[in-house]
Amino acid sequence: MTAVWQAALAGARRRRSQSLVVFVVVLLSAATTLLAAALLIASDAPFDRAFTRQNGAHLNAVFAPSATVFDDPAVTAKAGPYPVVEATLSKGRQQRPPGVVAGRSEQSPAVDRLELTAGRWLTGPGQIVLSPITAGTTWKVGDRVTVRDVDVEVVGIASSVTATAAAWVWPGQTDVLGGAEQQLLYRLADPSVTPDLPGLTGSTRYQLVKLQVEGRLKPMVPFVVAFAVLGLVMSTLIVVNVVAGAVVAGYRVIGVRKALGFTPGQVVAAYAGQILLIAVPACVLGVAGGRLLSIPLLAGANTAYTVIAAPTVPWWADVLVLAGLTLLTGLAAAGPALRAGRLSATRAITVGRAPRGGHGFRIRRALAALPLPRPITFGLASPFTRPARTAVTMVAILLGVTTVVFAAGLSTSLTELAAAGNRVEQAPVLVAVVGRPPREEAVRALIEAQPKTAAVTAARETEARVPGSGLPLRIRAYDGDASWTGYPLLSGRWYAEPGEAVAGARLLSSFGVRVGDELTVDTPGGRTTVRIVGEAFSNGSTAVMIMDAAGLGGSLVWHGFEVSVTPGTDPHAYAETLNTALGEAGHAQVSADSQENEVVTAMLALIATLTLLLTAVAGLGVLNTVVLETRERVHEIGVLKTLGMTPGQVRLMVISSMLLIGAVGGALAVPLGRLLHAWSLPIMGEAAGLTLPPAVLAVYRPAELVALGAAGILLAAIGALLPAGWAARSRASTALRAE
Amino acid sequence: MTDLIRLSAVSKRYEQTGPPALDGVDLTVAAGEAVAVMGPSGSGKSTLLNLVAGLDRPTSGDVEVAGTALTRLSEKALARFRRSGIGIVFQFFHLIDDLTARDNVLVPADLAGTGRRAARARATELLESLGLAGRAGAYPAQLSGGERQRVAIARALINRPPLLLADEPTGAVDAATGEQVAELLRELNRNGQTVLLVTHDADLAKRCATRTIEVRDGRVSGA
Repeated sequence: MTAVWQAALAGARRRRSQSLVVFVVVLLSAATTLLAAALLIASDAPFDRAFTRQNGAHLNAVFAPSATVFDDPAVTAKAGPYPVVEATLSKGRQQRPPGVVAGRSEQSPAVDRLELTAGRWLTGPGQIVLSPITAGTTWKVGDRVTVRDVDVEVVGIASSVTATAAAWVWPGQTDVLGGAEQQLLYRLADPSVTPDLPGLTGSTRYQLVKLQVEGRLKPMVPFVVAFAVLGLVMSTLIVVNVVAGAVVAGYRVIGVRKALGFTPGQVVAAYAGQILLIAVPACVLGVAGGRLLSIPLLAGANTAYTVIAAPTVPWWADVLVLAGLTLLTGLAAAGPALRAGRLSATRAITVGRAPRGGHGFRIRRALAALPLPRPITFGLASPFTRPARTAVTMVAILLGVTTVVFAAGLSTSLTELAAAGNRVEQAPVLVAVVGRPPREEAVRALIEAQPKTAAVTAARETEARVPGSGLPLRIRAYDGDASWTGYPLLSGRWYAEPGEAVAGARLLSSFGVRVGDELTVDTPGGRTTVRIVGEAFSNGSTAVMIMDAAGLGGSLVWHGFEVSVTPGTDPHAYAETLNTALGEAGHAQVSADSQENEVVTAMLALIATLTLLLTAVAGLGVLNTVVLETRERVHEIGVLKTLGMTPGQVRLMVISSMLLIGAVGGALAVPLGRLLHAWSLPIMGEAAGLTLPPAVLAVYRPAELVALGAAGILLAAIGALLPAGWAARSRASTALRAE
Repeated sequence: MTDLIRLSAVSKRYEQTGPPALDGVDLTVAAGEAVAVMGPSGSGKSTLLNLVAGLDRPTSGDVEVAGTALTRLSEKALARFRRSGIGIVFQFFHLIDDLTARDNVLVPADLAGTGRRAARARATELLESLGLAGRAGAYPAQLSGGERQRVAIARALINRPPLLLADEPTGAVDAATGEQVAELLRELNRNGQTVLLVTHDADLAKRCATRTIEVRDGRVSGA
């Protein structure tokens, strides 16, 4: 056993560059695999897990200030009553839209246990804890904010899974909470049944919140899973390639050892041992690195999933990755070692000395006839001498570039999706009416008087029902023609008169109607029949219908104003000026700054990180192949240097050896990436109940595709750069002495 | 006659503490000479050849070949110098397995950027003169040891270098083939080719060289 152990140790030491490549590849693969596993875990019903963890409220009920709060037998647990008011928070000139501010001393009551993501919980008056949405990216712990003219310090940022408040203050903070209503948070025995609670002035059921959250979440899950699976496949492939290559490179030594008396079993043990000596520490470090990387990455994923919480990777994921990757590397080493162990000693030495075999002679000859510099033809011919290794390297490049093509398409699609949803181009400014009593017409006059206002329309909403259906339906109603508000029309036309409506995809699918059909709906103002004249893109999670307010009477709930600005106007500057004019009467914000946009930003960061990791792994696959090739061809390189090949020509030859693989891999990856994009986007849309506009689907332009295909060549060249440098610097006399 | 090779006080150490591979060697070889370098294994013969070929650099001293001071050249300039200034024949031929005999011969010409037509004509001329006209399309594995060594000689001569270095050229061939190779080298020298031959075969040295020097423990005698 000592001889086997010594052989393993000596092998790891002797081939230092090879050992280093195996170490880095296994390390990076372990980190990528852990991240992939973490993302898969995070993607598994994130809302439900957060809801269970926080013991979320099935029902968020608000009662009049003086109402007596009754409990219903259906209630299994409750928290509150907490005093709540609706207020606007501001920091300097920055103002947040109106939201609920709750007076609450407990962070973790029986229901709605808040998760702190920064700072600490309240200890008394003068302090405030913000929800992550309220805090955004600019408000931090330690900042001072104003709420209802009271100056308070931000001491923490905490998340409620059902968003029970935008901020929390101490219950004794009476200057903020004056005239408050009462909030009660309930857990119910049967969440589908709403209990009869007298005195209720408003309520939010968790199903609605879940629907909203999952509406945003569902489109994201398939692509995160796609990335995770890509990561797992690539890591596995490259580890097998690298490890098997390392063993094959040692065939000559295996032959010598067999001649000295090693049995096939001892050969396998020595090589598996040699690889595991490198792979196990690399795995441990990779898992640790993956854990570190997972903190920002999971935070990004959780932001995207709108369930901000402390990101965690379960301990068993570490064990699984460690055990799985160790087993994989062991098996990858044992396979070729077993084959070598079965060869006769002389055969192993021959194979080890002359690995090129008879492959590619004709191709090399044909290439030599081309009017290209000789180092390039030598390099281009190289992949044909080892077809199996070439195929594996090509698959690595193929997957790497497919990832880049897919990621590029997805990034554009997400950006287009957000733009289509926010309608940032057409109606970039939203104005909420805040004052009590609300002064809508005064606010409208102020907006119309504002320079650079192009158009303004009031948006109102109402809940409605289709007779015989329990499904909720939301009607958004505008003053007259609001076709300029920018809803992308997928079919039909915009409504032209009261009684006509444009519907979202979810409405059409939920109620089984098509453009041209009539639909009867019950609104709080009475029953009405509307004709659906067009389908508009809508990224909401509920069925929505857009129509002229004139046909709906006085049953509408005020939503806000949508404003378009004159061309060339900066919406942020416009909103700031308008806010000064509005004072306490209203609040203007830029639609691109909405929460959905933050989600898109988080997703784009996530895509970029994963793409970078996966292309790095693909690049390492190339690097490994070139290291193996260079090692095998060290003698030939020495001869060529002796014959007058300059270091620059050696570098060119080594890099050229990967160009053809990169070009073919890149060329194949472009249609594959497009196919993956074309296949997954509608699935994402379907998951979210969306019909995606053409701008979201047709995102690749010919010039972009050519550039993306060229990424294969670039990836191949970058992967080959380092070993090309080693080969160029090697001394001819040393190379000629080398076996 | 002008000196083609000039070594002045050349020393080469591979390790700081160990004995030098070459120790203060002075050597001149005139154009048109055929000099045999002899000595036992590990005496420093190959080190000497590597320094003259610009494959390695001396620890101290100067190496000048065909008027070019090799010690002052960059790696790139050394490679360019080797293309046109030196042809090398190795003991184990060092042909490229997946190139035909003709393509092997063409490699230095291609690297030097010689025109394709001129290079092919020169390769054909060399292969014919070395009796390999019918073997131009064969791969090294299909050639005998003597044929391989003749291909290697043709490759060394394609760029018409003023100096031909031969490192144990008969070391890997049978006696009859060795005789052919020796005759070839002698013929080349008779036609004006300067040859520096490293060998431990006294008979070969006697037949091919106009002068013999001995390397022992890194020092040269008979220079």
